[in-house]
Formats: sequence, structure tokens, C-alpha cells
Amino acid sequence: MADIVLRDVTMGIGNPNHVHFHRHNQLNLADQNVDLMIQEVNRGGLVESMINDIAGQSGGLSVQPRGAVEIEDTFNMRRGLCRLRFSVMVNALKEVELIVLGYLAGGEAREDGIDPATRFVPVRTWSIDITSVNDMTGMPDVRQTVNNSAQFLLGDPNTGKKLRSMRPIDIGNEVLGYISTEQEGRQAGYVGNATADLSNSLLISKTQNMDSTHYAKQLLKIAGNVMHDDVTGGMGIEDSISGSIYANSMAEQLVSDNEFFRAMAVATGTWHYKGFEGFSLGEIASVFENFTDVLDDRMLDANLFDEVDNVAMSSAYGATTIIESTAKEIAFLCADLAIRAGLTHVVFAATNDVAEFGGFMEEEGVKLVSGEFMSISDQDPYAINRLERFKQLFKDKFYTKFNSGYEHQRTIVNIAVTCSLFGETSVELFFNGDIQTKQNYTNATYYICRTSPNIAGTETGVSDAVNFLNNLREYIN
Amino acid sequence: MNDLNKLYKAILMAIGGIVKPNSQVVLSVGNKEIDIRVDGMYLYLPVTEVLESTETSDKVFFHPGCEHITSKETEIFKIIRRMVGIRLLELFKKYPVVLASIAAGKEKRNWNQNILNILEPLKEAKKKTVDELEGIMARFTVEIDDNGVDTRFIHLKVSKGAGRSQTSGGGKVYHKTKPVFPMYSEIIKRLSQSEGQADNQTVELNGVSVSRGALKLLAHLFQVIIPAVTDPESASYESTNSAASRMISYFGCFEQIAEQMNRIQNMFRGDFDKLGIYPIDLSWTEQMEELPTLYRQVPSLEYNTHNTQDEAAENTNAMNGMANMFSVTSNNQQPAVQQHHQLQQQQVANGQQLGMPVTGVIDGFVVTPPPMITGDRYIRYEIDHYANQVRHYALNTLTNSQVVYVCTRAGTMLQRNDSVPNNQTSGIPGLTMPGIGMNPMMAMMGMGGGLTPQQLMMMQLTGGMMQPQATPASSGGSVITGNQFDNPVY
Repeated sequence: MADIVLRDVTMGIGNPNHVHFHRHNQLNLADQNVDLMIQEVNRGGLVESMINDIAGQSGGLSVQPRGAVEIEDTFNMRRGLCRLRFSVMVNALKEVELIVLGYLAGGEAREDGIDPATRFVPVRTWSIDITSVNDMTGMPDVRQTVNNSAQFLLGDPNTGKKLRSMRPIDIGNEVLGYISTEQEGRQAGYVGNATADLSNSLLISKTQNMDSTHYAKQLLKIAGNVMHDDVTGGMGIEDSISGSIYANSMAEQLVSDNEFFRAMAVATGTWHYKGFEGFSLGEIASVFENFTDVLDDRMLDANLFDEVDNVAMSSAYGATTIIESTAKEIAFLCADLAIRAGLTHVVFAATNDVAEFGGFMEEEGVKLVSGEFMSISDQDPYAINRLERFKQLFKDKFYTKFNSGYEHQRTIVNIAVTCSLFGETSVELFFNGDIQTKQNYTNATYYICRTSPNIAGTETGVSDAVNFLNNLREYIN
Repeated sequence: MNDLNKLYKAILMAIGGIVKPNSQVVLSVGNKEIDIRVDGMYLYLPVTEVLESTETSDKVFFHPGCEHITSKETEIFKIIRRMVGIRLLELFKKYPVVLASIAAGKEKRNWNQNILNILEPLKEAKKKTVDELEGIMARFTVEIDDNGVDTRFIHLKVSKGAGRSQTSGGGKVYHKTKPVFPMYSEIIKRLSQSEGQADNQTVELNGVSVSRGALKLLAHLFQVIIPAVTDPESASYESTNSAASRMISYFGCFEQIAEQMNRIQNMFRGDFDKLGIYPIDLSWTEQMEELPTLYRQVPSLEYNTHNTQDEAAENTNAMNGMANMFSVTSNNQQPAVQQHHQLQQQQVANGQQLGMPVTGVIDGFVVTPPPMITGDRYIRYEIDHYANQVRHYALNTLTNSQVVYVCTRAGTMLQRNDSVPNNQTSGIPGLTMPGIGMNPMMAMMGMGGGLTPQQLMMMQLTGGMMQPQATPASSGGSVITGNQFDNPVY
């Protein structure tokens, strides 16, 4: 095991928010795309470009919210935030910086510092490879790349509502389990894949899964394999599904793969996360003894920062409207793309309304203007490169769905986003160029472990997806 | 209200629904309003005002138009099917009496031969026979009954289309709906079997004796009110557009049946009006062809796009009364729960014979025994004031060992310990501490399986039905409860 050293602990504070609602990733496959897929499958298999094309059009969040998200205390409070930064030594040339972000819960107010009973609830984690390289002139240089980023998925802390994780791999597992019980004629009693039950465990989900296009793509991949094997009569459906879900692109990490969790588990002897409510700060301090030396809690002072009352300044969640689900989708997408590009903070505005940018069009038919931004690493001379990467990713991932080669066929969306990787992401948007209908939604990214689109608020979210795959298989026959 | 909702509202009204001012959809039967629920959530019309309110999370919307082409019957469609069944059956039931009174009355000059033919058998029929019809029709249902006997009056059968349409321009058929009349077929079968017998002879119809004359009259009524009974294919409807295809084909078929039933009313408009029986409003049907474009006015919504339940499990939903029928569940846990209650009652009954459990509250402790597992015989209870718990002792008749049900002060069951052999501790029950009697296997289950007590209970009741959980279902035989989660197991 690699050596892990706690570098710094930084605390901060959030703002009051509206109650968030569960919305999960969904695949809304248009009828003509079903026909297209069948056609392609009959020709020998789905090609990647076709999958991307269809996924770009059909991924989205469920429009109807499914239950309010349960959280410790309430959403309407200033929440303590905490960032743990570790160094993991790999070898002389390579070092990994591991970040674990979480929010604080419990504990009592004390004058002499932070109560050790305060719990650190993990939300996100990522690691940055810091490698010494030589540039083409032979001069030493340092390359910093985000090599891994994930969010944690947690169950309901209060009432024990039965939440299920629906990462692509969970859906695959679910279908696989369903089919095997079906073959025994016992599918009526199939209650689902136990590993996806969040009341049981802490799960890790790749940050990419927050991108509903990515989710759609993974599901389509499974569907494509199943359809293909069905048509060619090659492998059985169990083989094709298990083959697809254990492929690298869909695999997920284990919690114990994370160096921080591994260190905690080794020290405390607890390897399971049943009913996990976070680690207490005292517990962390007992494992990483320099905790108090590197702790910086100055920013945990509510008087230091003015409160931004998001409850007063943004719309409440809970409606079944496209504008709300799109705002939520943008917030999740930005949280994914920012880390993928290597930014912690980015402000931008974008539109695909040609009238807005004076008649000339970029290739994608999208204009994106960026404001301030911040790189993920401390001293980064190449932050601007990361920003450009982000801009490109956002145009590709988000606007594909609304754009068409023909201007009259597109849905015009104007957005203005302030995204913080660990803070609040506020999204202002309106459709069809009608600024009168502008809405402003704020999504607290530090609750993503509870609000993630990979969590299904009700069982129907999962069964919807499972039945989709199952029905598709039957439909082509 | 947008065009789509106007259409939905018209359809709902036509099939016996009411849209309340707050847009909630309820069913009206007789003078009663029955709530429609899916997984416990009330049904609403997806009007903008409701969609934009911030309280949509616990509502289900009526949006069958967004059903995906690959989907099987959705939960919303199940409701539609039942509403249509009830609407047509209730209307049909009213006809015989009206027609009989018309036939008994004075013949009108403008009646043509067709009308005379319709009324002829009714005129001849005795009052007793007409009365008997009511009894027969009362046993018509809208669902296959619990014993699997098909007593349905009508069923509009939707099947996945194949090939090209013969009727509408040769497009690809996505869904086809054809009416079937299970009771009519049964009546015809009985009549032909008893061919040549006198009208006052009795014939058995689904286990009930009825006179042959009444059956003959009923068959006649079927034929004149819904001529499609003799040629169901003529009333079938094919949809050739992949969008909303099930709905279009279903209501296409419904329209033709409803039209036939309206036709006979309109022959005797005045008489039906007097009794307040009005035709089914079908003015919305011409808008159905716009549905493939209209349905986009509301985004795709859960319970409408994809079925959330498998068809195989569908029939296990036992239909006990009207309210139950309109409370659709997407997963099939409900029957299991009902079974659980039945067992509970049975157990209480057993206990009264053997150990006489006390029910009620003593010293502020609820001493009513908890639901027990089959095979446990109740012995007695003991109040533990220190732990604030009530312990119920019972004998596991299978292993002949003592089991303890630990309950809270309020009577909620916490756990069942059965690892205490009878010969060891029967004298000192107070020593059985909650949690100590838990064997390691149970602890494992608590860790990995994560089942709620109820689920575990069901697992035992149904003989390991839920095995795909990959937990050792057959082990222990004890109920693990939430309070053990607090004791981490290393």
C-alpha cells in the first residue's frame, strides 16, 4: 500500500438552499431511433457513432421529481464543508494528490474549536496525477492530470426511505438478475439487485454518470449488444449483458479502492458501510495524527462571509417542468465536466440562439462566453487550456440535444451558469429566446452524494430502465 | 388547458372519470367518487398549473399518449382498461329494463321492422325472466376473477401488430385492438349445449343455475345492443403510427363499441332520456389522429412511458372491490402483504385456543402479541420495565424451542429470537437479552441482505421466494430488525 499523508484540511461554509428533489437519469428513446437501431443491428451491429448520436438525443433527467431528498438537519441552513487533501506517494517520479470533499453534520457548537463528534460525510473524491516529465527540449516539467473522479452515493439518513443506486452497472445487474429469475419462472418474486440498495451501503459512482448522455450511452451499449446477440443467435442474453457490464467503461470502483477509505478501514477495522453516516472528525484525527496541525477552519466562520440566501433568490424545486429538469441537468453536467476539464470554479453563459450572436455562427451553432474560472491545482499556468476544454465539452454534451443542423428545428436555450465544484451551482435559463420566462435554480453540489441522478427516489426509476431493456429485446423479435 | 389535456379530459369523461377543479382524476360509479391511485399516489391531469406547482413529486399524471412503442401495458393503461370495462358494463346493465318497458308499452307507428325485431323477444319474455337477467349481469366483471374464471363482460384486447394494415392504407401496424366478449361466448356455448331444451329448464353458467330462457334473451340483447359480438373483427382497430399507438388503437376500438351502444339508445331517445341514461360522448374521437403530435405538449412521465411491472406478475393483483381495483401497484409486494395479514389473523385465532394472548394495554405497555410466524404457539408475555420492552414467549412447534418476540412499549415488534433451546432457559425467560440470542448467520443477513423485517417475514412465509437477493434465505428463521444495525458487526 502506498503511503498516504494528510496534507491539509480546509473548511468552508455553504448557504441556505431550497429542498432538493430526486431526479434520475433517463433514456427517452424516440420511436424512430428504435427502428434505426434495429436496422443497424440487422446490418451487423451498432456502430459507436450511432450510439453517440442516439444517446445525445435521448439522455435526460426524469422530468417529474420523485420525492424530496432527505438530509441531516435541513437544506435551509448554512452547511459546514470540508476538504481533505492527501498525498499518496507512488514512486519517485509520480505522486498522486487525493482530494475527498464532504460536508459536516452533527456535533455541537464549542468555543475551543470543532467538536470531534462532528461527522464528515463524504461527497466527492478525485485524484490528480503529478508526474515529472521532460518536455521536448529535455527540460523538466510537471504534468498534472485528473486521473479519477467519483462521487459517493448515500442512502436516506433520516426516515430510511428505500433508495436505489442506478449507475449503468446497476441497471445491467438488475436486468441480469431479472432474466435469470425469469428463466426459472420466478421473476414475480425478484426484488432487485441487493448491491444497489443504498440503505445498505456506501457506493462510489463515476463522475461521468452524472452526465445523462453518458448514462444513455451505456444503456444503449447494453441494448445494442443484447439486440445483436439476439438477432445473430450467437450468445445467450446472460452472456451479452454480463459481457457488457463488466467491460471497463461501465465498471465502478469499490469504496475500498479509495486510499483514504482504505486507510480508515485498516485503522478502525471497519470494512463495511452499512448504515454509514460519515466518519467523525475525531475518528479521522485518530488515524491521521497531524489532523489538527493542518486544519484550517478559519473559513468556517459564518460572520466571515455574507450569507447568500438561495431560498429567496432562486426558484423552488418540485415542479414537473422541462425548465426545472433541464436546469438540474445542467448543474449535474457542469459538476461532471468541470472536474473532467480540471476546473473547480467556472462562470459562463451560452446560447444557441443565432440572433443573439449577431448572425455569425461557430461550427456547433453555439456561442459560449466564459467569465472567471479556477483551476483544480494550486499553481497552474495552463488553467486557460482547461477552460477551453470545458467549453468544448459543454457544447458537445449539452447542446447536441437541442441543436440541429437546421436552425428552424432547434430548441433555443439561453443559459448563464455559475458553477462551483464544491459549493452552489446556480443556473439561469430560458427557452425560445423568451427572457420573460427566465428562471433561476440553485443546486448545492455539496449534497451530490444524496441528490445524484444515479439515485432513484422510487423503485419505478429502476424498473423503468429494466423494463426498457427487457421490452426492447422482445420488441425486435 | 392545452389541446392535449382537453382531449384527455374528454376521454376521461367518456369512460366515467371526473376531473375535479384541482385537476385530480376520480372515477364516478353511481353517485360515488372513487379515488384512483398508483402506488398510493393520486392521479392528476397534467395541466400546466399542476405541473408547475412545486408539489408534483407525489402525484401520478394521466398521460397515456407518451407510452413508448416497446412498452407493455403501463400502470396508467391498466387503469384505463378497468375504467372502460366498468363504463361499458354499467351502461349495458341499464339497457334490458328500459328496452323491456318500451316493448311492454304501446307500439309506435314509425317503428320499422328492425326495431320490431329488437323488441319482439322482450315483449314475449316474462317479467321473471327479465328480472333474472339482472342477477346474471350482476355477476359480470371487468377482470378475470380470483379463481381464474373469465367472467368479463368485455375485454378490448390489444396485441402487438404484425405486417401491413389491411384497413388503413397499408401502413405498418403497431398495435391492434380487438374486442372479446367472454361472457357472451360462454352464454352461446351453454345455449348450444342445451339445444332443444325448454326455456324454463335451468342451465349452469359459471357455477350458477339460470334459466335457459333468460340466457336466450341475454344473447339476443347482446346481439342487438353490440352487434360486434357476432363479428368482433369488424370492430377491431389498427394503429399505423408508432407514437401513442396502443392508445390510438384501443380507443379506436372503444369508439366502435360505444357507437354501437349509443345507436340503440338513439332509437329510443325519449325513453332513455326519461331515465337519465345518456350516450357516451364520442365527440373527441376525431382529435385522436392528432395525438401523435399533440402528446408532445406534456413531457414523458413515469408510469406512462414504460410498464414498471412485468406482465407475468400482473394477474396476481387480487381484485377485492372497486377501491382496490383503482389502486394499482407497480411492484407485486401487495399480495404478499395481504397474505401476511391473513396469517396474522390465523395466528391470533390459534393463540386463543392455546395460550390465550391478552390484548390491550397494561401499565402503559401494549401487550397485544405481535404477528407470529407459522408454527409458533403463544405462551405468555412479560413486561420489562427496565428495558422498556414487552417480551412475548412462544413455542416454536417445529424445533420445540422457545422463541421470544421482543416488542417496544408501543407494541412494535423489534425482533424474534429463537436460538434459546427450551430446556435451558424456559425457567428464566428474563435473562434473554435482545441481541444476545442472535446467531452469526442472522447477523450476516442483517449486514449483506439489508432486508426490512417485513421482507424477511415474507421471505419465510413464501418459502424463500425472494432468493435472488443472494442472502441465505433459509437460515435462521428469525426477523432481523433495524435496531441491530446500530451494533456494527466486525
